[in-house]
Amino acid sequence: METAQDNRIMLRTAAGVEVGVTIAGLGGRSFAFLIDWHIRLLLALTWLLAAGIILGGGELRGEWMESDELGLGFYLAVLPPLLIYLFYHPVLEIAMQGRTPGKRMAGIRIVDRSGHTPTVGALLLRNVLRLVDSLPAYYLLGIGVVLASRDTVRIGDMAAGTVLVYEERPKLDVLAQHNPRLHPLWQEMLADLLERWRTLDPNVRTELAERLLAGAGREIPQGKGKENSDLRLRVALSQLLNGEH
Amino acid sequence: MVGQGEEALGHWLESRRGSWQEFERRLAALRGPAGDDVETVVELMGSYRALGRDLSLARRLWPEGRITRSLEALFTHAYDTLHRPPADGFQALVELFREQAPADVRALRGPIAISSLIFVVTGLMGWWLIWNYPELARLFASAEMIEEVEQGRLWTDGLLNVVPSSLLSIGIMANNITVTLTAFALGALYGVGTLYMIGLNGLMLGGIFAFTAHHGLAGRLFEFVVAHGTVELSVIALAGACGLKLGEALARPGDRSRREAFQASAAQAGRLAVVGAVFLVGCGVIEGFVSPDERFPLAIRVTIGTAYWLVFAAVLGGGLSRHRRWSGKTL
Repeated sequence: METAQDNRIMLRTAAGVEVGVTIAGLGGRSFAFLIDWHIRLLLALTWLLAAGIILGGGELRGEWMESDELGLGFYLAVLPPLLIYLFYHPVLEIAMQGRTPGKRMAGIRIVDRSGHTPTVGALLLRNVLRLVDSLPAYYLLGIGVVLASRDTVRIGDMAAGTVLVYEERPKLDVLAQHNPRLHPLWQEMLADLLERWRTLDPNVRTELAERLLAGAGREIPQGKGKENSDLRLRVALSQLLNGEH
Repeated sequence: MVGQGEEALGHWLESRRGSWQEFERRLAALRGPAGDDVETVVELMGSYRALGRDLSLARRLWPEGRITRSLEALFTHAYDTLHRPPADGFQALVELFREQAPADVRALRGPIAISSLIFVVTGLMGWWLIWNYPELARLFASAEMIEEVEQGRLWTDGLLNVVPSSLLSIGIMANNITVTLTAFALGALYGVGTLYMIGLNGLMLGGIFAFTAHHGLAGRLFEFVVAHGTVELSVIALAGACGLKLGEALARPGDRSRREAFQASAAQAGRLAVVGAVFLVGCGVIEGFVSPDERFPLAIRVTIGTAYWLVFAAVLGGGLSRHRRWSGKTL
């Protein structure tokens, strides 16, 4: 069962626990597409170049492409790149369960409305409708629909009942035990503070770090200059988290 | 800083870390090639429920914490793995041809009739247009094609001297499948794109036949087309019907929202378009190996075209269905 909540889809599981997946916006989509597009282009060009050299008898010559007669060489050189270009998305999305190399790098994947990997039929359907999404050129229609739709989906996704979501992979290191003598909630706070260190205001993070170190009975390090103090505080927090002295 | 109850919960969560890591490891193994072990799945379902309880506790204890976020990710991952529908594969493909496609054809009888009618009418219009104004042939044919026909030759003559049959087949298949899928997909533009596509193909076919007839070559063109064209043209009309169904869902969604109607129609029409595209593989083989080969007489070409169309009609008519009906009785 699925309910929409801003940019998240909430899934009510059979275990009675509700979990949410975050819908990818135009940025995530475009980033993934650009990477995939370049991979496709590189693969196709590599094949074309290799075929050109082989057909040119060891040299890169273009006469075979200019010939009026479409001979065997032309087909061997041009068909595979065309197939790579056309079938890259459907084949990889099926094989990689809703992912492509570009989507993986962008941290997104395709799921159906129940949060599962879509069926082969749905993946094929969303790819067939690229023909419409890419109209009139440069995916303009698809981009417009993504911007206008509630779940930032293109026409192909609407037809197939799919959506692109951010893939949050469980981080095993988070689950790993740090300092066993430290209360789990303290471990959690320390790890959280270290993870968000650079995004926090320097005064706020210094105050938080000092309070945590003082609470744990650790000495507050002093350094010369602001940057030095900042670094020393981070080191002290890491040592506390990992049980080092 | 921490209350007694929370401290107890914290220690309990801490004691569960090992189980989560083990669960994650076994979950990853389940996605691998040896992931069909029922006992493992049953055991994991137990761990999955326990993980759900842990997640609830973690949320209560630390709503936005790292452990909670990680447990949520692990739970979502487990949800996807353990509740995923069974892999359908070959059985689903068989089911598609045996049951789903005939049922979809029955449901799309109206759009199929309309699409076929548009194709035939525009074909006749194309014929009339070029028969009366042959100079307009350049609208439908390239300058090279027109020149060849005017010299008493078809552009398909000697095709096999240029390209081997196997490669010719692949090229034709790719082109036909693209046309079919485009005719279907353009239905998403309220069916207008499909109407253009079907209409244009009808006009072209009629026009080119009229142009070759002007130069006494229509019989030879028919000879070239008949073996593969019966199914090929039927598939184009079918794809047009699928596109019209998509357009109808958007224009007249009925009780459902446009989005729901579009999705339901896309699933149904998409299935049928894919079935049609599969039949085009056979058309491509025939067009590559039989149609341009002058050694095949007309009788054999007609036989091949008729037989292939009968197979096509039998499959889509429910000939392979387990619930085949005969004289109103289920066999």
